[in-house]
Amino acid sequence: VEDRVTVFAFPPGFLPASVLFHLRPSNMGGPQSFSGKQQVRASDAGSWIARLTFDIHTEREIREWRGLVAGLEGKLNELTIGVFDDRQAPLVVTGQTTVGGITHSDGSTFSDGTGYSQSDIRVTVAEDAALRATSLSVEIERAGPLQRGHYFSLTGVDARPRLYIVTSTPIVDGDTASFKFRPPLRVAAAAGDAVEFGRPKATMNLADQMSGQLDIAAPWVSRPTLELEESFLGLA
Amino acid sequence: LDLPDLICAQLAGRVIRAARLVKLDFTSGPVHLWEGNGPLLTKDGTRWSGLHGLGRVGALSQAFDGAAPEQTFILAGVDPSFAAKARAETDEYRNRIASTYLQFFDEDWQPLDLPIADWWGRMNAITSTKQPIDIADGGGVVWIVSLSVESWAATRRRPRFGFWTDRDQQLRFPGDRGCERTAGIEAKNVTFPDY
Repeated sequence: VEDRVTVFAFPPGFLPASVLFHLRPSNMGGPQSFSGKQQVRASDAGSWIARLTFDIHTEREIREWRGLVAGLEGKLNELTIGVFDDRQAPLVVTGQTTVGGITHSDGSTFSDGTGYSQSDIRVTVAEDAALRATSLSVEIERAGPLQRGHYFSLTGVDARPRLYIVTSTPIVDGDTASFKFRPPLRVAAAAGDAVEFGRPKATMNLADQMSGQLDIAAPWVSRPTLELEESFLGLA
Repeated sequence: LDLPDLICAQLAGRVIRAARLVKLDFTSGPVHLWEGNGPLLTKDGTRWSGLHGLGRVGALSQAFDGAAPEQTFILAGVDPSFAAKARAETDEYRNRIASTYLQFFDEDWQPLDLPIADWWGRMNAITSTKQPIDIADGGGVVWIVSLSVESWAATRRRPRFGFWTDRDQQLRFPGDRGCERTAGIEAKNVTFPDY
């Protein structure tokens, strides 16, 4: 499917006042019995929704926000956004999700003195996982102990990060760990693909056309909300 | 329906994991759809495109007492290929087969057995409507394509192609006079030989 939308990256430097990521189930209730018990019919494992609220004060924040929301054009365009979950991530060094200052192979840095930056947690897929798989075996190069409830993202060949969450206590064997997760894999993963545990991201779009409005009250403080839902590539 | 044991066990339980699949056999090629998120590969190797809840299948009703209930498939927020089909020649869909299936899943959302075909009909008409959205909900319009499908019983009253009539015989073998007199011979005594 040809992609005719623009994907915006959420600008760095924003810290949310509240974060809500939820795997919205797609269940239907059966008829209710006299005792109030109900059968549940599920057609699929659900998809992500999110609500994030930010405190916005500075001129830069106001400009970035306005530009981003205007660029999203309601539900049209997409946004890759992190889950702001550093505190719960399987970090090796407390508070450090990325390491910067990595030099080129000859030891030099970029002209402004900075180097490359990469995730401080390095996990890769150990065995190929098929489309809609719900368990994964990973190879841990550098990470804290993986646990149930950790978010992770996998980026497919279409460069869209997709968010998943570990739902079973990982079984660790040396450098490999295997666990169950939800939702089922949106695209197949191949052995060697990077599994992002440090800064997992999701590709979302606005769930509500009116979401993200910036109402600036004196003295230039505002608390806008983004209502998001997991984006999808048409009838792919 | 004769269902495998695993599915029977699930149907008797509290939780049923089952999705509806729809196959629309257009002239230009079949379209496979299912109601979940993203593509689904069933065990027969078919790839079903996920509707992400955009589609809706009306309640399937059983045809009995001679009635031929019509079935409607609805798709909101439409994929361009469907909009094209809605405008296309009726040859593209008229009288082509649409069938529905049930796919059961296990606890890990892996397909349980093969999809079970539970209904089929012939596509009759595709219509598209524009539905305005309230300005408070963001405004704009939603395109809704609905496809009506007639069940197998729809043409049951039409005379069959196999009557012993002259018209039918002419259609099959032009010029043949074998059934020329069938219209007049009902309840008639033919005396033969007549001398």
